[in-house]
Amino acid sequence: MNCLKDGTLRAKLDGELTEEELRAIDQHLAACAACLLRLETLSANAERVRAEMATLAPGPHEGFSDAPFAYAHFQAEKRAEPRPASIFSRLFSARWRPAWAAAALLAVLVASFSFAPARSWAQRVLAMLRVQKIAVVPIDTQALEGLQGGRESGKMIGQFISDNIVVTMRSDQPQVAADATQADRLAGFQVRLVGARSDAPKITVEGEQGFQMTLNRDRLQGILDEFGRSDLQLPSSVDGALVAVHIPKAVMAVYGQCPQPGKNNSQKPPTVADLAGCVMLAQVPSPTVSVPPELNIQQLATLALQAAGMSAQDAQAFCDTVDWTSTLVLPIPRDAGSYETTNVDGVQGTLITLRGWGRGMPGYSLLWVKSGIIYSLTGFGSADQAAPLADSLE
Amino acid sequence: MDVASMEGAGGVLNPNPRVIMGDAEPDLNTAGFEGLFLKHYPRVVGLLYRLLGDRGLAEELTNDVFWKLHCQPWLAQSDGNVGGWLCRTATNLGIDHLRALARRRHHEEAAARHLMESGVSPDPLAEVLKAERARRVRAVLAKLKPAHARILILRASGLSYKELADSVGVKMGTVGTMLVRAEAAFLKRFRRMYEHEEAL
Repeated sequence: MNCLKDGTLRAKLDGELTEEELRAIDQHLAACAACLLRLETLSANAERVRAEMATLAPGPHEGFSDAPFAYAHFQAEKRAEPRPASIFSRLFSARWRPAWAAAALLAVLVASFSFAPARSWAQRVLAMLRVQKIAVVPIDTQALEGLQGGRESGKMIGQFISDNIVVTMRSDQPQVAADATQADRLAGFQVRLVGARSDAPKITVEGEQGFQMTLNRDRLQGILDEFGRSDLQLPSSVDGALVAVHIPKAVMAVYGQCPQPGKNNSQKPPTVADLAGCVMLAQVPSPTVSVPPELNIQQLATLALQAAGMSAQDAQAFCDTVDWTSTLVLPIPRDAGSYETTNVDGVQGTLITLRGWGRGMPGYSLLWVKSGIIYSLTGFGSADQAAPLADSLE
Repeated sequence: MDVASMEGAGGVLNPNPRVIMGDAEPDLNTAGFEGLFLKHYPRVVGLLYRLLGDRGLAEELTNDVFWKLHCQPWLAQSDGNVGGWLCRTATNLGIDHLRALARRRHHEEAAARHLMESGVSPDPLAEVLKAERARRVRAVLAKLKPAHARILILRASGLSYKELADSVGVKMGTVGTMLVRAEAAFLKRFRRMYEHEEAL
């Protein structure tokens, strides 16, 4: 008989073996001094840990409510306290919809953290990802709202971010540019403006940003568990993976009077007529994302889509059609609108039409990538006006 | 292309039925749920107390754990592994809080002072020493990999190998190995943190 495994010896100490197994092991131990020595070491370790862990047990003066009392308390408390809305339902609530327009650029950036490839002098040992094209995947908000979230999930995600993300480059306050020439100089790339608009835009240049995130499989799995999706198991290759993100300077040109997310609501909100004239053009050189080569991005994307409500089969089918190393995948709520591919600015773009944006107006967001720059043109009203505006960029 | 009609374009959206758990407010009086609550409450609250050392917080988090169960009728009504799910959820929640508490060390010290000053214990000094010992153990657990902390706390809460396997989601045959590794990691970390104060 070969020497015994530590796990088997440990199970013997805990009385977790069958009589037959125990007999065989005792016979081996009688003839094997090495295994006997290991058994003694494991026993001593187990006893030390047991003694330490025993200090955690409640003392005689630390009794808990008995179960029936606790159940009555549970019922009373949960009746009095409304069920906390999931973070997803809060995210998609009507009050956030006006912010979606400006958030379009953010969505571009955030989503590209996960899936974007290229080469960089800074991260030669890592696979570099860069956005070259854009795809849309519809997600079912009903499924998202069915996920079990609540305050703990929010806390766990917040804590995960604060524990695991190191900011390597912090953005300064946005700088205001008087015109395109000044914006070029501040941003370091050739800024384009909407030629079809005669009014002068408000131009701001957002600073460079960078951060690194070390993935912790157990913590991420804990978050999935928290959402009631323990059936989705993250691969072990995730653990310890270093993901580095660099976001170059971005330029936002705002035409007309647009809602300003994040500002307090004491200011007079824009009227429907104001919104009709609002157009926001965002442009940013593709962010770069560095990931370890062994990290299977397609596998993670499949899991993410399942978490968003897709069946495993459908998520796999979608992921098979996408090159995750160069494609920015934008999730949009299935019931929020529609999307189509369209020719814009000499390349293929994606036009997303959203129903009922700010003040009930429909809105659109046209996204495309040209010469390494991601463009997002967002506005209110008919989506028909998007392509002519985009084609007038100069 | 309309979003709802893009089935052929790469994504038939067929949400997992387990995810859609019903929008209606759960009925808090279902006998099945009450039975589960009464059966599993002592273990869950005990487990959370061991991790956190705070009765009020343990009871509060236990309610949160059962609320999560209540929101998952597919789980509560199935013949599935409810006990394992409860233990796993409680441990994850507890470890998360433990790590947060570890960043606020004064919490335990204040609790120890309160215990000594309250005069409830017939041997306040022994209680304080025990509380100090427990504080160290929790500090070590907070620094371990969650998988190690999880199996140690579940074992200390009295789970058998079968129950541990169900809770952690592994085969029963690997539980012993996991315990050995977790214990070695615990002792190594304990020595590193406290070897200047005592020999373990």
